[in-house]
This record gives sequence, C-alpha cells and structure tokens, in this order.
Amino acid sequence: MKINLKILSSHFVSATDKCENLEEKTLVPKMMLRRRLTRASKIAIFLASKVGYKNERIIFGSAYGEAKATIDIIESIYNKTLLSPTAFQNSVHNTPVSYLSILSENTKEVTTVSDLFDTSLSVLKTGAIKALKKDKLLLMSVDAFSIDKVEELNKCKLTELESGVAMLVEVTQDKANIFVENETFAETSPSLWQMLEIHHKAQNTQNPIVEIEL
Amino acid sequence: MQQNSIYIEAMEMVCSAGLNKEEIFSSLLEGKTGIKQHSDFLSDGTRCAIGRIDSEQTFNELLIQSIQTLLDNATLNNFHHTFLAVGTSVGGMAWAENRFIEDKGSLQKIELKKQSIHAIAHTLKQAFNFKDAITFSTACTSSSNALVFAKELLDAGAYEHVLVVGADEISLTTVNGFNALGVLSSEGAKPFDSKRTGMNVSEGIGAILLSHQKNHRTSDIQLLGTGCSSDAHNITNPHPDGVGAKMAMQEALNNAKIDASQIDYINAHGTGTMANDTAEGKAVQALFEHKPYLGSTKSITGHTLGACGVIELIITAMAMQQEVVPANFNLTEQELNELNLPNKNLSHKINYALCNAFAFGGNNTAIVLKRVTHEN
Amino acid sequence: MKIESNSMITTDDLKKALIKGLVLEDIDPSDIADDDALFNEGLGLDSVDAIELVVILENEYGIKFKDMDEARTVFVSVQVLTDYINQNATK
Repeated sequence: MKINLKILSSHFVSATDKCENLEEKTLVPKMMLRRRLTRASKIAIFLASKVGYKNERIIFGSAYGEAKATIDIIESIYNKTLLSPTAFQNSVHNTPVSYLSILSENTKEVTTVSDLFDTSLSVLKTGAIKALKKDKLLLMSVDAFSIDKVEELNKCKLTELESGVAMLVEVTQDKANIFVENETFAETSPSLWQMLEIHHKAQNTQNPIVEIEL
Repeated sequence: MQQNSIYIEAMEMVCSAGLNKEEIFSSLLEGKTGIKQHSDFLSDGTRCAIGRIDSEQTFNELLIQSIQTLLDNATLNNFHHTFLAVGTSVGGMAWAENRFIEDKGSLQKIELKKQSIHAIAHTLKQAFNFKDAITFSTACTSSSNALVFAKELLDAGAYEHVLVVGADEISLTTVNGFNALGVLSSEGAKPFDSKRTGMNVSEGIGAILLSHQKNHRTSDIQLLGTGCSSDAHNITNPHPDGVGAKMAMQEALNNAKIDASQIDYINAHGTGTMANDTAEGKAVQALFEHKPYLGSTKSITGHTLGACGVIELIITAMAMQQEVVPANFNLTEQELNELNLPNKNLSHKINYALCNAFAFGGNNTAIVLKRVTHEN
Repeated sequence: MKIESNSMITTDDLKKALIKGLVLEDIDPSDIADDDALFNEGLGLDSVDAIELVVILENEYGIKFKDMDEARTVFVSVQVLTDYINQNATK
C-alpha cells in the first residue's frame, strides 16, 4: 500500500558534540521545567518550533532513547548508590515528546517508535497510516548520545553525536515527487537516514510530496 | 477505506501467574497470584514484591514459544504476510544489565541489536519472517499503542493480518527506578484500596493476532474502538482528576460509536499506586454514571509495564468469552465509594468492555471490545 | 560537596549543593534566603525534588531518613536543613 504525504515544512539539526543555540530559554521560559529537560527533549522542542508545530498529533522516533539517563541508572545500581528519580522518569523513550506535550499543553495523541537503524522509516510508516485521519502530523526522529563513555558504544564511528529531524506532514492524493531511495549519511546516525533523505530532497523540491510504502 | 470488522483470531500470554493464557485466567479466578518478595533486586538489599515468570527457560525462549503456540492455533501457516506490531518499554535492557555487570561496568560488549528497544522485534523477525515490523515504546502504554496502530493498519486495508506482541522482561532498572519514585510495594498490590502501598513490577509476554476473519466458534471478540490522549500535565504523575484518562476513554467510545452506558466491564489500568488509582477512579466515576463493573487484574499478574496493554486485553477477551467478571483480588476497603468493584467472581454476560492503560508523561489509551455471538 | 566528619557546612555550602544537585539554572546562592520555604512557595521545589534531596543527603552526607514523612519535617528552609545536616552527618 502506498500513501503520499505532503511535506509542509521540515528542519534538521546536528552537532559533533552538543547542539548549540537550541533557544531553550525562549522556548521553555519556566526554569523549573527547563532544568529537567534531557538533551533529546531540548532538540525535539527546538525542532518542533522550527517547523511551525501548533499542537498537532506527534509521532516520534529514537533508536537509542535516553542514553545518558539509562547509563546513569545502571551505574548507580552497579555502584550501589541511591538512584535519582529524575533519571528514571527521564529514561523512557517518549520522554522528549512528553515534555513537548506538557510545554505546549497538547492533549492529543503522542506516540513513540524505536526500530534501531530503521527508526525514522518506522516514524514515516506510522505517520503515513495515522495521517489517513486527514489531520496534520508532526513527525520527528532524534538521537542524542553525547555521553562520557560514547567511545565504548560508537562502533559505527559516527561523528554527529546529536542529531534530529522533524517535519510537518499531511496526507494527499497528489502525485509523489520524492521517493525513499535509502541514501546514506556517514556522519549521522543511521536511525535518521530515511527522514534525513526526505528532508534534503524536500529542500530542493517545489511542493514536496513523498511516497511512503507499507 | 475499508472498515470491515476486526476480530481477535488468536491469543497467548505468559506472566508470573501462569505459562499460558488458560493458566493465567485460572489463577485470576482462583485468586492465585505469582507476586513474590525478593531481596536480590533492590541495590540496597531491601525486599520488594515483584512478579517473575516461573520457568527455567529464558525470556526469549518463552517469547518465541508463545508466538509458535499462537501460530499453531491460528488459520495461518506462517507469518510471511503478517505485520508485527511490538510494544515494549525495556526491549533488551535486562540482557544489557547482565552484560554490564559481568563486564564490571564496561559498555564495550553491549550489542545494540540485543540491547535496544528493537531487540524484541529483531528476535521475532528472525524466528518467523514477518513481512514488516514496527516497535512502539511509550512506557506502560507501549503495547496498547501497538494495538491502536494494528487497528489502523487493518482499517486502512494495508494488511490482512497483524500480530500485536507486548513483551517486557523484569530488569534492575525498572525495579530500582520505580522504587526511587517511591511507588514500589513490598507486598502484593491492592488496586483501588484506600490502604494501597504501590505497584509490583512484573514481567510478561502477550500476543494477539488480529484480522477481519471470524473464527466460526460460538462467539468472536471484536476490536471495536480505540482512543488516545495526553495529560499534558506532569512527567511522572497523572492529572489528579484523570482528565486525560477521561478523554482517552471518551474517544474510544466515540470511535466505537457506542455510548458510555453500554459498557458492562472496565479492565482498569489499576496499578495500585496512590496517583494512578485515584485519578483513574475519578475519571471512571465522571464518565460512567451507570456504574459498570470495574476491575484491576494487576493484583494477580503484577504490572507488566509495556506488555500490560496486550495481556489485559487478552484477559478481558477471555472474561467476555467465559461470561465472568473477575474479582478484584486483594481489595478490602475501596477508596472511592462510587466505583463498582466486585470482590468475588461474577457470572455475567459482558457485551461491551473497555481496557485502559496509562503511562509516564501522561500518555493515555483506551480500547473498546465487543462480543459478537453467532447464531448456529 | 563532601565534608570531613567534625567539619560544619554553611548555608552557602548547602545552597550550592542544592543548585548543583537539583539543576537549578540561573540561580545564585544569593537568590535564596536562608529562611525561604523550600517547597511549594519560596524556591518552589516539587515532590520529585523531595526524593532527589533524600538521595543527595544520603550520597553526600550519609544521612538516612525512615521515610518521606520524616524527611519532609526537615525540608523546611535552608537554615533548618543546614542545622540538621551539621547535627546528623556521618560522612
């Protein structure tokens, strides 16, 4: 089955260590909420603002999730120190979009998928089916793993330790002019590749419409 | 878009209360819980009450075996044209923890295919060759969100068969994590009780095969409607009046095109924590004036985290097929007087049921089931 | 903020520990009065902060509470908490 999605807007951000200029203080003025945001949460909030998010339903994807919180927890358990409750509440995969929904008071459906290197493709497929309800959707894929022990884990030798891509989409009957051709982007985590490919192609296409195959 | 009815074609589950769905349902009706006290999970050595599957087999072996049993009971010969929708909150975390501890704090040997959320789908794709798979991970609503997507796939006509699997293995992270939040109990959970002391983290596997086919038995269980919402309130605690829960339940009723007054039984999320049960109880009171039967089965199965959506849908479907409302085991004094919480098993025809699941960050889902009887 | 036994901490030391441990951005020790309420009004900490504070007190000062109710009786203000730590620290 093929579903066509119109790309209304899209944005990409990445960094070799930590993304700067995420505008946290403007986007999250309340310090008591801002202080608990994880890196992926800050990236997600920034991306949402860049694509003109206005409380649409959200489909989010992350391959590695909250790597820092996860490792802090297991180290705490291993070293027998008391576990931080903030670390645990921040360790679930839908943490970034939970914070986004709280910040924007969005009571609509928010869902998160995670399929390792196919994560952004899963976001696209999930989004395509959900878009059949004919509302606009926010699709996002973020992976942030700029952590202390990253060399032990970074077997693909990725140079961009933080990256995220977002797009605002809606279903359309119009003909597609963008197709997923499995392009690769050596510095970025493979978990973002499919959405990144579409984002780059959309930048160079008038009225970009991508075909998603299920 | 096709809108042919969606039925449960086959189901199977494993948890601390039993190694298959018949055993678990019997345990439920007999009030036999598999929740036990352990002192080797919390890093300070204190006791906690959790639910472990009572088997020598590994979690992955049990996972593959349950799906095989389900396939043997279905009309399909294989899953080559079936879509797999997985819901899990820990994925391969338990394996990774063991590795980390064995390797004395090194992450060198952590393989992403075995550690990640995708690990469950990876194992099942290798064993059964599904056409495609997507994994949902939204903490305790993971497999409920997988069920919602499965319905959407079938409604769209994208697939004829979807297997929804909920699987969460017990892990040090979740047990210590919920303990850090002060919601883990050292005794069996007492959902909706005024003296409840928290939840029991537990492991479980549940699988449901959905399709447009009826099974030609005396009755079928139809997945009639789904609803999703967000609390937009707090990262850990639900809205105290259950506002988001009420929205999800109402949306499920709207999607099912039925009225609240038609619901006979609600399988609650009912974890046994102060926050969840009060919020959920208030939401149910507000929406269901006719006081349908309400029950939490987590006092028998424990809280199977990401797997609970599928496991509790299976329990509800079996309750409908067997015409029995399971008792609220462990309930002695209910906190909210208006709720109809039976403390004995009741013979009752359940025509319409609602299954709730609520998660961290205020992620809420509700699913409506309908029993369709066939004239022979 | 480890202290040797027999050495006292000041309210300033505690404020720095709170700012660091609870990730209070853009707040200086001079922004917190010794008698300001810690929870709800004043600094505005919440229930998760209360648990985090218990974790910090045990990990840094070796102080253990029987339960959250006992902990909340000393989580009143910076002054009250500083005095409590100086009387009960075991690290």
